Amino acid sequence: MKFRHSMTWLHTWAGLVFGALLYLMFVTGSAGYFDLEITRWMQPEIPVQQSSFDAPALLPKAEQRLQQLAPHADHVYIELPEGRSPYFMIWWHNPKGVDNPGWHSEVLDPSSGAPVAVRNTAGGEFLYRLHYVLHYIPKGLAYWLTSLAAMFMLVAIVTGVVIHRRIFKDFFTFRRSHRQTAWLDMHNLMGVLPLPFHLMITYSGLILLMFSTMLPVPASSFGLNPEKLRQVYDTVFSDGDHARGNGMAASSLPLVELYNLDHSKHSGATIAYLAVENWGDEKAVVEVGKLAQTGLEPFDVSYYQAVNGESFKGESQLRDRFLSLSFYHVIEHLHEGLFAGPWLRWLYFLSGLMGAGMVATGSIFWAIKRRHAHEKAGLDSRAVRWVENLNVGVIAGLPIAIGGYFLTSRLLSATLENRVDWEMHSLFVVWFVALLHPFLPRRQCDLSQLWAEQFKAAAVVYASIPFVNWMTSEVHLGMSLKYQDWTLVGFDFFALVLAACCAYFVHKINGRQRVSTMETVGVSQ
Amino acid sequence: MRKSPSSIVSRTGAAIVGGYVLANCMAFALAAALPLHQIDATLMAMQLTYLFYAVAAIWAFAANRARTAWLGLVAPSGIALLIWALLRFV
Repeated sequence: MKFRHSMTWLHTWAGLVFGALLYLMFVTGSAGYFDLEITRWMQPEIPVQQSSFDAPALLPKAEQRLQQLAPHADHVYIELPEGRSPYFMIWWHNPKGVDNPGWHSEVLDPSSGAPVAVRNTAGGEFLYRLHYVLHYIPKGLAYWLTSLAAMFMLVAIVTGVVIHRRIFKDFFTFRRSHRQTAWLDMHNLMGVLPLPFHLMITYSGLILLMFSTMLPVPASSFGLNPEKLRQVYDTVFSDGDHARGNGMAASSLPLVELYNLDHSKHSGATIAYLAVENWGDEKAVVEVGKLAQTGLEPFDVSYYQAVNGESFKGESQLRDRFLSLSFYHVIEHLHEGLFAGPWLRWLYFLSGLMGAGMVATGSIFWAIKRRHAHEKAGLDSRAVRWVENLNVGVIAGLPIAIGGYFLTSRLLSATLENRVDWEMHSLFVVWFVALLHPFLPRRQCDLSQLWAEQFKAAAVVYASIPFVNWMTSEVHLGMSLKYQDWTLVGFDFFALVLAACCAYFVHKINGRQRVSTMETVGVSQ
Repeated sequence: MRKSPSSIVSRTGAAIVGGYVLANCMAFALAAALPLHQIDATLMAMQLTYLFYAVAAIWAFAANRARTAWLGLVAPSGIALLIWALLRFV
């Protein structure tokens, strides 16, 4: 009994201390599973794809564009709008010593192959990065903070299982009549149903940052010399140079021929990208990535020599020899979910949101219980009110802020110089206002009124998203439904679903408020 | 849970700092002891650190007294460090 008491205490505080950060990580990390889709919505200049992608006709145009833009590039990459990717896009890498060294990219029209001038946007990648790089603080510090929060999460998960002797029985219990226990039951439901996901995502998240947080371990094996450690790191994580150029220029086969060659070898597979290493070199190697049907890798990959189309076999990779490294890659793939098709991707997303819900309901439940205890003991409950106010600003405020980020992206001028920065600032400005709102002095302030106000704001923000899309672009529901562009349909439609959920919350809160007012009136009579 | 504030502060320190030290020391020993390629063994140990860390943190609050909690972290850390030193430098 005493042990369970300690564990209950630990569970409560481990979850609560980093509650806000964990909530942010769960929400933005979940959004990250749709980063490409979000970015695509935020770049409305790309026209709706009106017919299925015609690779043999359009690939030469992409290659031509690359030759025109990047004659000296050493690596090039062509992404095709297949599978999850909504992009027909070219990327090139200029080596040092050439104008504009580094990676560059251009978006092409998936119907015509013509270049599209897209606006700069922080896109879905910003939300994805927010869940572990955070913002406004150095990367290294963010890694430590998010790792620490994840460590607290891990402890909260383990102790959560320990304190639930009747974990499965509790799971099937939902007592909605009693307010306090309803919150606890909801917390249990969202904690237990996706428990394997929560464990996996937390532990794998920690492992992905281990070279920041557990640096003493490699130092214990290889010494403190940073150069030596860097070397070990590079050996572990290099993809292995598949081919080295010999510096002799040679004309390669057109990429479309390699596309057709690979297509005839693997009929039925969908080619998602082509990449060339040592472009224009005699030893150039073309990598053809196809959407994987099974397994954890997102792509099945084949390699060809660019000059003659013969198969090319790269060196065997380190991960095939090291058990630890294959484990690491499994963990990485599981966390990132790049292999997930549409259904599994939605499951990932919803499991992540349930993680956010678990943190949120836990924190709400704590505040309710504390308030009861304080009122019973006749203690000053100002500190509890503080937590309650923070709960409103964090739990309801963050979704408003993210919605505000989407709207800002559309409302800012497409040519504004620092628009990417302002998009990102907008999220924090809106969130700051939402965090402040419960603390504003007012005559009479009921907690449920604050919740209702914020969810009302969230409902308005999300309901307006499809309409703002309609007003500001040609990629609105009218077009996307007509041409069955499910990426765009999905974004607008999910915004409406969120708006409906928030409106439902408002309705519930108001309903309960009416009931409690009636009860009070009844008692006083 | 009725525990004095000083006990809670001490246990929190044990969980966060002591747990981190223990997790690392265990990983040092494991990386040196596993009969694998050195890089392989190190990576394996690194990936297990968080498991040690979680167990250590839970121990810090499960132990009867704060002092026992610290002892239960420091002693195995010392032993692990000794094993590491013996395997690595002797």
